[in-house]
Amino acid sequence: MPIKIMNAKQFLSGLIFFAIGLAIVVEGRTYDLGTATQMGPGYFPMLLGGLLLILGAAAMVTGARSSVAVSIGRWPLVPLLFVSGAVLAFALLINAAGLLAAVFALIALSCYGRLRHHPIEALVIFVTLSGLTYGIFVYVLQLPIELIS
Amino acid sequence: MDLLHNLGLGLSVAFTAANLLYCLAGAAVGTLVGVLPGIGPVATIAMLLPLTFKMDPIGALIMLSGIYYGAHHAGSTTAIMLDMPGEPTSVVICLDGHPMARAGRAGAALCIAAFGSFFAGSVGVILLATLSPILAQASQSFGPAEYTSMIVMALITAAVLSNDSLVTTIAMSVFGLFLGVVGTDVSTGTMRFTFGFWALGDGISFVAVAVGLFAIAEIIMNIGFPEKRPPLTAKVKGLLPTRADLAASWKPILRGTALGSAFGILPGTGPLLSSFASYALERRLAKDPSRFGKGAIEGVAGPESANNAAAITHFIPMLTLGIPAGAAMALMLGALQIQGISPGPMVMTKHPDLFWGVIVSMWVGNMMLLVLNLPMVGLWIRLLMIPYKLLYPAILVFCCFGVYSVSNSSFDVLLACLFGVIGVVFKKLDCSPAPLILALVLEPMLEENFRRAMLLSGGEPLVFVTRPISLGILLLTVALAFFFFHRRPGPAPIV
Repeated sequence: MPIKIMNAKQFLSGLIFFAIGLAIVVEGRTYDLGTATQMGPGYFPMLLGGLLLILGAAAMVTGARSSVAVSIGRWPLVPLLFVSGAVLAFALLINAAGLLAAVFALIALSCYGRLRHHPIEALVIFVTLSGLTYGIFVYVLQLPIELIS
Repeated sequence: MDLLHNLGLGLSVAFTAANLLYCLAGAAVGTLVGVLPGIGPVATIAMLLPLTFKMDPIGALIMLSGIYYGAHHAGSTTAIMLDMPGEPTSVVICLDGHPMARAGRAGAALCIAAFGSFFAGSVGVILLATLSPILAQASQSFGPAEYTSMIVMALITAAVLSNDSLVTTIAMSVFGLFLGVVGTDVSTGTMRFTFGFWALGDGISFVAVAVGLFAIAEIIMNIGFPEKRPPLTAKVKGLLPTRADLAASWKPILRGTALGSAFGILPGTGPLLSSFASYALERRLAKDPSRFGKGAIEGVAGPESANNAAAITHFIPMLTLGIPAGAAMALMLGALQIQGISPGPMVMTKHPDLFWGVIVSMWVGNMMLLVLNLPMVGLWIRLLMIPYKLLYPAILVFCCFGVYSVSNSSFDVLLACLFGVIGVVFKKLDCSPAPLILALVLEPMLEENFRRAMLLSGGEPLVFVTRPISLGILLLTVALAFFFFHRRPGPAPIV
């Protein structure tokens, strides 16, 4: 007999917390627990992991048996992909290829999402922001970032 | 008198040209951010934090605090004019502020809101100046057990005083604590949960987490679920409040200030809940409650004052005890720590210029906000017309550079990206990120004090209830939990 989960949000968040707690406890066993007086590195994390297991389980139970039905709704997948991709590209390019390449990738990817920019608009944004960030971060704050490396 | 001497010191610090400029910059940016939807003070503080590391700590704190309380002042402007709260704390102001604007009384509403805010802010500063030395003095007798209990109280109160499910909020705090564990264990020198990434040796950068959870996640959500912006419907034609308005408003302003001051000190979403509490209180006390929702000025005066008093008293725990009461405070605490200053009871004696300079400049900032919010209303409203698609690339670029600049590390930017994704997941599941960042910043302090308390007590966990101050703190926590759990004065919980 299928169990109906009423509050899907609560249930899923509980599941996530439970999983994190499990991962912590499993990994934490490799650290020395020590005693209460002389706490080893593993003492506190294990405590936290255990708490998360309990809280996660509690959230799953209250979520499943909630009196009000709540569904999660849709996820913003396209913006998620493009914006995180944009930040990822920036991280990979800033040292390897320099400021211009990193900002270009950031703008190109993030301005593709739902709010589609006119290419000229995106270009203007790119030029303005490149200049601005160069001025603030490289010139004023003297960060070791090159325009093109 | 000691207080006068300290205020004199504060005046001399706050009124230097540089610090006045920082104060103005903070207040202006705060107003901008408070008016623009889609970006809030926490995300802005996270974004600008890296820039402040190269600044003098006093100027940095003055500017960041200006952003915080400036945003709280300004959220009501759009609430009144456009029925659109610039900040979550201004949601209640829409209820009566916008009907007033529609009836042509926007000027009166804005005026009362601005003066109520200024009064509340001033009272908040006075409280900050007078309560802090007392609190700091009291905490001299705090030992590790007391600090542990205080931090636990902060985390639990923050969970109780929010509108989300208690279980998930506490879970977020615990997860935040775990994130704070990642890195090198100070006491034993072992690397914990770093999985071979030596870049994690110093721990997870709280700036990366904050930017990811608050700024990047927000951008993704705003692009995915765009809000319709209503057209400008109200005109502000310089209408000053009438005598009747003033007569009706002064008591709500006083009550709101009292309520807000109390709520702000408590860890959690004090400012948010205080405005709701004030609205509910005013409606209950009004002779004719049916006026509410149709343009009752009490519904603007009370909540706005509560909101702004709370914004100032929110600083008290962080400045006096080193325990941040909210996400923004946690970020400022982190910023001070990176600058080599450990906020806490010692700060008043070791860095009196910082402490009193910031307090006085808060009052200066409140004055600047009077000018920024009233005569310049038209400018801010016009700025709202900037389409979000032009705003978010700039925010994103500044976030990336900001995070990178903390330690010239692209690894940190990767972390920010990861937490941006995590942030979206949590937002969709109604898990509030504020307790997480609070816990992340507090973890070192909590673990160290917990360790020490257990060491000193010989492994006896009951030490937290046998020591009187610690017991008192824990009892207070339980009392607050019971009092607030079933009477959360906020909007109906998102069940």
